Amino acid sequence: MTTIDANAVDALLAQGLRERAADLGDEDRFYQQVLATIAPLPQPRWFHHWPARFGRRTSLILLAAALLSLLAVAAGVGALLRSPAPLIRPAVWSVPGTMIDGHAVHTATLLADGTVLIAGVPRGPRMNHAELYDGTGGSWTATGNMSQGRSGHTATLLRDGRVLVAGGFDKEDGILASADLYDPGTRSWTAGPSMIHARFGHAATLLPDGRVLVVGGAATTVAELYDPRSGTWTATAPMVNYRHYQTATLLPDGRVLVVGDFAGNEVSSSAELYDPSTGTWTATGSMTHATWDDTATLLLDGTVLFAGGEGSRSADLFDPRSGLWTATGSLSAVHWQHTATLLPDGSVLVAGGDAAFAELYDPSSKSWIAIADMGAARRMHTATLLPDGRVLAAGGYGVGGGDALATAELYGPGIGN
Amino acid sequence: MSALDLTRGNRDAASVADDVLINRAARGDADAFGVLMADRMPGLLRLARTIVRNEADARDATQDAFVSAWQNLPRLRDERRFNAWLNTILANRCRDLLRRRGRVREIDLEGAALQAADPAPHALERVAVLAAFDRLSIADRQILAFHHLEERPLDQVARALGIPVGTAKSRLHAARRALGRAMETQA
Repeated sequence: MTTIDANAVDALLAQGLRERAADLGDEDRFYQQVLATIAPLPQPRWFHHWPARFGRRTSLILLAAALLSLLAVAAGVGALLRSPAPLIRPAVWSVPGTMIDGHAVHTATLLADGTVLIAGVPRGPRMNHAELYDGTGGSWTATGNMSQGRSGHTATLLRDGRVLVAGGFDKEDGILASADLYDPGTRSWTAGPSMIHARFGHAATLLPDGRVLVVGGAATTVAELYDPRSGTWTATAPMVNYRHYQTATLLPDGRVLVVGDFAGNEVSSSAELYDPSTGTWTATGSMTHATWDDTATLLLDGTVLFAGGEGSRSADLFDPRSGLWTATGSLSAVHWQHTATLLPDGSVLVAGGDAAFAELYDPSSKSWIAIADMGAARRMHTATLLPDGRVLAAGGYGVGGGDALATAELYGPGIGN
Repeated sequence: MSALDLTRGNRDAASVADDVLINRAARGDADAFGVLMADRMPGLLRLARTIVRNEADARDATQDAFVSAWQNLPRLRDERRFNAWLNTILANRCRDLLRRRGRVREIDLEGAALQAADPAPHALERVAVLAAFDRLSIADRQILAFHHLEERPLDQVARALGIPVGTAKSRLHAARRALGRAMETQA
């Protein structure tokens, strides 16, 4: 064996290790394959409120204990875990064809012409792909590509009809500050001005004056405003709490209600209000329970419905006039990473969230009604109210994890049998 | 963490964003875990390749580490130790895999001679150094790889391993001495 100068060992070692560790060119595919193996396992319906993740052994032990407990008590106890789903209101889920690509953690934006713009997916070769759904023809059409791949971004319909897409995550570039603008007239994308802060899991709200408020999703309390007239971002007053994955809801009086989900590293029930006229934030009361990945829906009477969340069947109503939070019934199943859509009749459709369950909130009776399940379990999907009153549920992940779903379905309230 | 900590800039934005992703992933959000691991996966795979040498084994070890991290993340008490914790998991998976395969690295003289036909300068010497490297403990290989492959300064090596800088310095020194001894015994 050749004698090696001790001083050369370091250089030889570095060179040798670099050759050994060289990228074979398919690391992205390997990452996707591995990531697909860690998706949550499918869970039976009655087991759906099970905490998000235990080890398999722990789960089996706890499952056995739970079964023994169930046998020891009256059979009716099972009904407490999940009430049977009476199909009180007729509803139909139908399949409007298949998207060109799978989409999850994406955005869906109803455009002025009634089409729906779908954009983004966390992994795969076409993370920047966008497509349009035409509800009248029931067709899906590719509509160019964003300047880079995105998931966990926001998409906001501007007053001039364009769509502002901001932030998100791209596997190559990490958490993004960049933005894109989609022009429905030319069906093309142009790179927009970047936000001040990179954000993922943030919220964007179109204000009455046409500006867009972006909050949370970054390691900062700083909120920022996009002005479409000048095409610029400016910082506005910081939030009271630093938040991630919060909801943001435009109230009838022009203020924006921002709630949860994480304040710092803790799941938060706290809320605060942004007043665009003064550019200030004010803490308001807290939800009756803390959860995350719930939904916020502005109802016709001006109150805001918060539903579901991780491990939760709870629902709250926030009344902006009084600033009070009140519990409003209990969902018939856990919904987490689901969607909530205000229907034309004032009810709210809650759908999916690691399962295919769907239910309606009736604001007049403040009650929840289970309806027909979706055709497929979905989480991190989108739901968009179409001009004809139907709801388009698109993409997401199935309960078995894996790739983003390319399937979509339509909910038509009050029809079918 | 309080909002004040952030507004004072006590921690950089990326590490705070990581904390939130770790927090969400620990609560069962697979997508947050995917975001968290996206830029770590290539580094893990590179490190595994240097330790176990075989590409298939490196992928097995990396995948095992990935799944193990997903399953055990709820038990991680301090998000700031995530990277060190992850590197430890990978090293353990590499160790397990090599033990399972029953591989005790020997000096690959035949392979060295074969590769020495490589016209690249110092090919024979490089093969000899790598052969010695393959006889080291997993911990020695890991710290040498961090320092020489990733070209990380000592403070970053210490952070990646979750140990004090002084300890990293002494461990690196010991690993280099072990490499030297391994080379002497194969000479």
